[in-house]
Amino acid sequence: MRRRSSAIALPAVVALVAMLTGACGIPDDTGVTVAGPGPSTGTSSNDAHGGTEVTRESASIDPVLFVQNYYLKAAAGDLDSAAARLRKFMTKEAARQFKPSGNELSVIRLVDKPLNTPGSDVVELTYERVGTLDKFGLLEPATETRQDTYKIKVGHVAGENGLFVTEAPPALLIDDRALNDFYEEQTIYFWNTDYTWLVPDVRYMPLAVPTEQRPTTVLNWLVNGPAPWLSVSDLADGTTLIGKVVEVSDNKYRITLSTQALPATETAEALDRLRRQLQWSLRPLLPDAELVLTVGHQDAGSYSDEDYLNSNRVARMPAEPEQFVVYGGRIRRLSETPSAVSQPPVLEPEENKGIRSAAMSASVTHNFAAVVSHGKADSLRVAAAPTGSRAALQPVGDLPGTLGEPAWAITRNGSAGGAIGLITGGGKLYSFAPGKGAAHQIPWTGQGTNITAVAVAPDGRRVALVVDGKLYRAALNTSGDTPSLGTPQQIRPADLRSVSAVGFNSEGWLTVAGVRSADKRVTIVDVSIDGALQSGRLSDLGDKPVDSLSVYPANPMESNPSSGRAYTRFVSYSFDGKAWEALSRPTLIGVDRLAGPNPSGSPAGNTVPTAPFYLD
Amino acid sequence: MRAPAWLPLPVRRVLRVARRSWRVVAVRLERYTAPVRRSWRRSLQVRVVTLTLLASSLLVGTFGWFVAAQSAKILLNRAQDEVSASLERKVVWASQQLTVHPQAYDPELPATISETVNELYDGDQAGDSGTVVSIRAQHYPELEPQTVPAVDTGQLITPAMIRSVADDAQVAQQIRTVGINGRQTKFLVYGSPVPAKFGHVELYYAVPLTTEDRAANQIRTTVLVTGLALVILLGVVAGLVTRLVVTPVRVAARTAQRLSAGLLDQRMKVEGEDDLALLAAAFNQMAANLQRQIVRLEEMSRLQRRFTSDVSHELRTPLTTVRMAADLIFSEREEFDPAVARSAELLQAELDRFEDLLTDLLEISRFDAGFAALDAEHTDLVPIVRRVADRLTGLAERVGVELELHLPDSPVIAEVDPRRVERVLRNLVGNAVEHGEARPVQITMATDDAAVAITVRDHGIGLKAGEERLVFNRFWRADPSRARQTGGTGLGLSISAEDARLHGGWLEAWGAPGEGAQFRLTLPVRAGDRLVAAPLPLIPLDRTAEVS
Repeated sequence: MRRRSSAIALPAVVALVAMLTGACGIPDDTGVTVAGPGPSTGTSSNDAHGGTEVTRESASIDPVLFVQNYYLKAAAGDLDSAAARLRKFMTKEAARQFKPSGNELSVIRLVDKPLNTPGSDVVELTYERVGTLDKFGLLEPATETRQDTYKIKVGHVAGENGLFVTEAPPALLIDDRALNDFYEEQTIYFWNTDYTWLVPDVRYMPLAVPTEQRPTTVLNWLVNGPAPWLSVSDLADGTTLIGKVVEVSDNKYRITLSTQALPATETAEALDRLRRQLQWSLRPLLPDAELVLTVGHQDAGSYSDEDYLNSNRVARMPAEPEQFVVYGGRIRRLSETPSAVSQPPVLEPEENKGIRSAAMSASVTHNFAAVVSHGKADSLRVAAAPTGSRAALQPVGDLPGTLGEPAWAITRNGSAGGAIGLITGGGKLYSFAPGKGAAHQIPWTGQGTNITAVAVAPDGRRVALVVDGKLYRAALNTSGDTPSLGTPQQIRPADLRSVSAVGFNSEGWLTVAGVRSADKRVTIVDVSIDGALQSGRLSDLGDKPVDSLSVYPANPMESNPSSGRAYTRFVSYSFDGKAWEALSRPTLIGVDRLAGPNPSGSPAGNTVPTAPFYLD
Repeated sequence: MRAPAWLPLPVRRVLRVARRSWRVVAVRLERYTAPVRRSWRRSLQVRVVTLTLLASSLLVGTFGWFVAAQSAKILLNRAQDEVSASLERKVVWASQQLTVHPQAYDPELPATISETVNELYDGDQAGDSGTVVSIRAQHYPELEPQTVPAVDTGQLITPAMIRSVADDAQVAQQIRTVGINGRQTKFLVYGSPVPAKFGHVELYYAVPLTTEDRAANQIRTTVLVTGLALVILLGVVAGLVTRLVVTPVRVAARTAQRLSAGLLDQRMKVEGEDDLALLAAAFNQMAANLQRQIVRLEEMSRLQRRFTSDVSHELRTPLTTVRMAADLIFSEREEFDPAVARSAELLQAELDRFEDLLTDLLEISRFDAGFAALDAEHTDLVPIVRRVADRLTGLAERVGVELELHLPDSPVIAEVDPRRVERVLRNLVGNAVEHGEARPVQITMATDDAAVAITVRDHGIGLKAGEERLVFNRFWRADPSRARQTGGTGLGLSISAEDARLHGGWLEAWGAPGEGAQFRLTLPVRAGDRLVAAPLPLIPLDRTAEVS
C-alpha cells in the first residue's frame, strides 16, 4: 500500500513542481520564428544620376578648358557634397587646405575667357558675381557689381593622369553656364498676403537630385519659406515635412506635414489654400498626380482635380490676349486678335480720344482702364466697369506733368474697389485707385532717383522698375494704407549697360530693352528674375532707345518641361514713335492691322499706331 | 553488494565510501521517517488526507498549469498580433520613405534612414514607451545602423535574427530578455526587410513585454494561490469527513476492547439514524446478546460447581457414619471368618479412597468457587522437598524406585504457601514413583533472582505427543486400561496446576513415549511477581543431549 502510493506521488509532485515553475508564463528567450515572407523588393528607377556629375578623370588636359569647363562646373549639384566634389579635382595637399567660406555656391560670370600664360600653372579668371545659390535653390543676386580675378593653379601629379588643381580660391564656385546646364528652373508658390493669388518664387533644382527626391526637395523649400525679397504669406509657423513625399501607389503621392501646418480655426480655408499651394508647387514634377495630404496623423484630403489651377492669375489669363494700339489718340484693337470686332472695353466711345498711352486689365468680373492723355500737361484718367459694360473716365489728381506708361497691379473680382495701378511720373512712382481721387507717391528706397518705367507681374505683388537706366526688382506691399515697395534689389543683365523698358515675360523671367555693352546697340533680351540667366529676343534695334515695352506673360502651364521655362509669344514695344511687335524679328504694327473700319475724319497719312498694349 | 574485483582499487575505494555513506543515510532516513510511517500504517485519517492531498494537487496543478499556460499564450499572441500589425505599417511607411532613393550610395540616404527611424519611434510614443526601433542595412556596410533610442542592440537583435531577416528576407520574431539602461526587460523583437529600390534594408521593432509578463505572472500567482487554497481546503474536508467516520469506529473499537476485557455492560452511544447509528445499535445488540449468553453460562457453571460442592458436603456426613462403622468392623476383623475379614479390609480401603476423592473434589470446588486463598509466607523450599522425599521413600522402596535429590546447598527462600507447595510436590513425586517403572526418579531444584524451579524426572513409559496438556485435565488417565490400578483420584494434577496458578507460577509437563516424563514447577520468589523465565529447562538435559 505504502509503496504503491509513493510510486504515484513522486512523479505527480515532480510534474506539479515542473509545471508551476517552468512551463507557464512568457519565456525569457526564444529562438527566431519566421512569421512570413518579407515584402517584395522594388526596382530602381533608371536615373541619370551619374551623368550629371563632372569628374576630373574625364576633364580636359588644357588648363583653361580644365578650369572653365570642368572645375567651374564640378560644384554644381548637391550642396552638401560640393566641397568633396571640388576636392576630387585637387591634389591631396590642396584638398586638405581647401576650406570654402560659407555654405552656399558662389555663382560667377566670366567676363573674359580664362587666361593662361603657356608654361605657367596659373589660370586667371576675370569674373563678376552673379549671386549665391543656397541649398534651398534660391539665387540671391549679388549686391554689388565689380570685376575681380581668381587665380587657380593647376598642375600634374606623379603617377596620375590629367590635371589637378594645386591651389584654389576658398569658395564653392560655379559659373552661370553651369547654373544653366546643371540646374532646372523650379517655381514654387506662396500665397500673397491677401490670399487672393499665388506668387511664384523661382528656385533652381539641381539635376543631380533624383526625380524621386525632387518633390521632397520642393516641400523642404516651401517649409523653409519664401525668398527674402518677396512680400508673401509663409506657411504656418512650425510647419515641417514629416518623412518624404512618397508615391504610395500608382501616381498617388502622400505628403505628411506636422500639425502646425493648419490653424485650429478656419481650418478648411487654410487647408484649401495649402493644398493649392502644394499642387501648384509640385505641378511640373508630378503632373496629373493625386496628392494625399496628411497633417499630423490625420488624413486631410486627397486632391487630383485641376481646380487648383485658378489660384494662379497668370494661368487664368486667356491664351490669346486682346491687343490694342493707340492710333490717332484713340485706342484701337488689332485685327486677328480676340474680340477684334468689338469696341475697346470700359471706355465710353466718345471718351476714346486724345489718348497717348493706356493700360487695361481684367479680373473675372470687372475691366479696368487707365489712360494717359496729353494736353498742356499729361493727365491720367481711370475707369472700372463690370465686364461688358462701360464707365466714364475719372481723373486722377496729384500727378506731375510728365507721365510714363500706366500699369494695373492689382485688380479684384467682385468689385472695382481695392484695385491698384502704378505709374511713373516726373521720375517718381505713383499708385492710383480705379476711381476719382489723388495718386499717392510710393517712396523709393533704392539707389537712383529717376524712375522711368515700371512693370507689374501678373500676380500683382512683384514689380520691376527702371531707375536711372538700371533694372530693379521689388515686392509690392499692399498691406498698409497706401501701397509701398519692399527693399529693391538690382538685377544685372549680363550684356546690358543700361535699361530703358521692362516687362514680365513669365513667372520667372523679365523682358528687358536696353543698350548692349559690347556695341552700344539697342536690344531686347529675356532675363531671369534674378539676373543670372538671359537669352536674346531681338538682337539689334539700332541706336534709339525703346520707349516702352508691353508684354503679355506666358502661361506657366505651357513651360518647357525640360528647362522649366516659359517664353511669351506676345511682346510689343514703342520704338521711334511707332508700335512694334517682337516676332522673330522686329515687326512694325501698321495701319493695315487695325481692326474695324477707319472712322471718318481719319488722321493724316503720316499718323501711325503707337503705344501697343494688352488687356492683361 | 561488494564492488567487482576487476574495478581498479581507487574506484572500489570510492564505491565503498559511497556505499557506507548511503547506508548511514538510509539508516538515518529510516529512523527519522519512522514516526511518519507508523502514523501512515495506523491512521486511516492520515492515509485518506494524504491521498486526497496528492490527488487534488495533481488535478489542481494540471488544471492550473493549463490555465496559466493558456493565458500566457493568449497574452503573447495578442502582443504578437499588435506588434506584427504595427510593424507592417512601419515597414510600409519606411519603404515609402526609401522609394525616393534609387541608389544605396545616395548621400541623402543615411539622413533619410535616421529621420525614418525617429519618425517611426515618434509615432509610437503615444501608445507604449520603451519600444526600440532600429533600421539596419546588413548588405550595405557603409550605412550605419540607426536605433532610437540609442541603445546597444547587440543583445536585442541576434545574429540568427539578422540572418533570417537580412539574408532570407523573412519577417521574423523572437523574444529576448536584455538589460537596457540597467534594467532587465523582456522584449518581443520583430524584424522585417524594408524594400527599397536598391534592394532592402531591415527594420527591427522591439516592444517590451512588461505588461504582458506582469499579467502572466499575476495570473500564475493567482492560479497558484487559488490551487493551493483549494488543495488545503480539500485536505481539511477529507480530514473532517474521515474523522466523522473514524471517530465512531474508534469508539466501537474501544468499546469492543472493553467488552472483551469483561466489562460486559459497555455500550456505544447511538446518535441519529445514519449508518453509524445502525452500526452502534447492532454492536450494542451483539454486546447485549453476548452478555446474556455469558451470564447464563456463568450461572450454569456456578450451579454445577455448587452442585459438586454440595454433593461432596452432603456425602461427607453419611460417609463419616459409614466410616465409624467400617472402622469398628475393621478393628474386629480378627474375629470374623477370613472371607468377611477380607471384605472388611476392602471396605476400609475403598472408604479411604472415597474420603480422598471427596477431599479432592472439595478442594477443586473451592478453586472453582474462587474461595482458594494463598497463605503466602517466606519459606525455605529445601526442607519441604526433603520432607516430601522422606515421606515417599517407603512407597518408593516398595516399588523399587530410587529417589535422587539434586538440591542447592543453601536455603531457597521464596514467598509461597508451604502447604500447597508440599501438596504439589507430593503429587508430582508420587506420580513419578508410581509411573517410574522401577527406575530412579530425579528431583532437581534451582533458583535465580526472580524464580524457583523444581523438576521431577522419571524414566517410565512417558507421555505421548499432546498428552503434556491432557495430564492436567480432571480424571484423565494415560492408559484407560490401567484404570484404578493405582490409588490416585485423577484430580491430583488438576489441583496442583490450580495451586501453581494461585502462586502466579507455572506447572508444565514434558514427556516422550519410552523416555519418561518430566514435570516442572516454577514459582516466583516474591508473591505477585510476573514470571518471565524458569531457572531450569522443561525438557531434561539428558534428553536434550540425545536430541542434539
